[in-house]
Amino acid sequence: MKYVFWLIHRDVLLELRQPHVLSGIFLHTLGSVWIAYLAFKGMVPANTWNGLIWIILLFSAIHASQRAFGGDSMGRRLYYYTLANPRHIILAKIIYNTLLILFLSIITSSVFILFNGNAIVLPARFIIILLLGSTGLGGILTFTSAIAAQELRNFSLMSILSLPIVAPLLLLLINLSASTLQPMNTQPIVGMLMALLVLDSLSIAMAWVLFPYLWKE
Amino acid sequence: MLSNKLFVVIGVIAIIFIGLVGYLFFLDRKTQRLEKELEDFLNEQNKKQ
Amino acid sequence: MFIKENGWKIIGGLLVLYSIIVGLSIQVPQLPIIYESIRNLFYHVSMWFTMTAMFATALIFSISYLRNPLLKKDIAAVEAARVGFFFGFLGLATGMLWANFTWGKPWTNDPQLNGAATALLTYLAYFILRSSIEDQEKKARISAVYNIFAFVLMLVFIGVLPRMAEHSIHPGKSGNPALGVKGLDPRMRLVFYPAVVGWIMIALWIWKIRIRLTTIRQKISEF
Repeated sequence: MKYVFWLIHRDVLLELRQPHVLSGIFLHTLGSVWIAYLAFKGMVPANTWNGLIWIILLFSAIHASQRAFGGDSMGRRLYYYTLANPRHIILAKIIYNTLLILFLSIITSSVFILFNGNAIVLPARFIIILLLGSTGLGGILTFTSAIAAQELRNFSLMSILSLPIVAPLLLLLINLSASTLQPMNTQPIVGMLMALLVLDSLSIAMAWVLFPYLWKE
Repeated sequence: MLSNKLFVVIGVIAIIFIGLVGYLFFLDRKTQRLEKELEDFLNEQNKKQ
Repeated sequence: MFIKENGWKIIGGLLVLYSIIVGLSIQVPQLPIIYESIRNLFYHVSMWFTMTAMFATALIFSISYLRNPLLKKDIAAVEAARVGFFFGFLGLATGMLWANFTWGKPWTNDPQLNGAATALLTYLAYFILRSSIEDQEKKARISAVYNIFAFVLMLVFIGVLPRMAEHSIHPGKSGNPALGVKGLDPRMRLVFYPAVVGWIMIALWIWKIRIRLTTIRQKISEF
């Protein structure tokens, strides 16, 4: 566990050393929110609001995770390889990425609400969904980023690989977050939250099991 | 069954399917021959060396 | 000799032939909306079962490759995925035709359909991943990892989400991801199961031929 914290600490330090990368990601999301506002002129019906915010969150999460492994140079990867257990590395990356995506999605949601109006009726539940969603996105996207980073020539590989496997998660998230906009008793909230938890833990567990096979060079 | 002549259609589909399976057998044989040829060729090359 | 080696291929062919002949000639229950098109169960649904069987085969060989990296296991895995994709494509095409005449449009928002489309997209990504890596060993290892990761998450999608959905428009399957076999007419069951088994055998046969051809190409390129 100590190594994991050390690795997260390193990631944070490296990130802070080059603030332009991080601000680039934020600008990217702000731009997408702005375009969504321009397209709808601020008059967004609730289910469109829901779909729109999750699509923006998904793409900014993909954008942010792309550098989880792609950003590291070959030399640094070798350095980590000699230093740490691969399982610690993937765990640290997933935790760091989850926090980054969570931070990003909170800011994106706030700006989105600012421009497009607030359609959320149950804010506490929305934040829980955001938290669980960031964990799932963090797990799946970090791992696909690790796969895509193995092949540096194909830039679109990351989104090609992640979109189909992120689809179930996104479907769950959109359904769940719809229930915070228009609460109804018929929606199986508990079941969907359980499924979300299963997806989250499963993606992290799979990354934990499979990552050593990716890491050997 | 007999009066609406559906059996003719079933017959046609069955013949097409049998034809396809027969073709698959043909491909199977052809692959086998190819495997043998390659094996012989590789053995010959090994002898030469 | 011939029968001993090729018997299962003949049996597979005969089973499908039986499902074609008997499936088209038996009396089927006349249900509203679908009527005679219920016979599509024998042909369309068996495509999906075959796809699932082939993708499961690909998964088994991918796991086995990671445990013991032999090239022939990688070839077996990718060829199983290719054959499975082919049958999945046939399932999608036939399903869209059937849906167009049953539900009025080729694509409806249904967990079964979404699961199938996601599966096909995942394997397309798998093929693209393979084609973008040059090194043979690396290609085999990384694509095996992706295959396992994607398959397990997909299993959750196909297994859990349809149960979550409030309703499915697939007949007799509301809240049930498996086929509504319980509600199936026993005579239809007698045709449906042999059809599934027969198609899986034929898919395995095609898979075997593809493996052999790829192995030949492999040997030539090594030479």
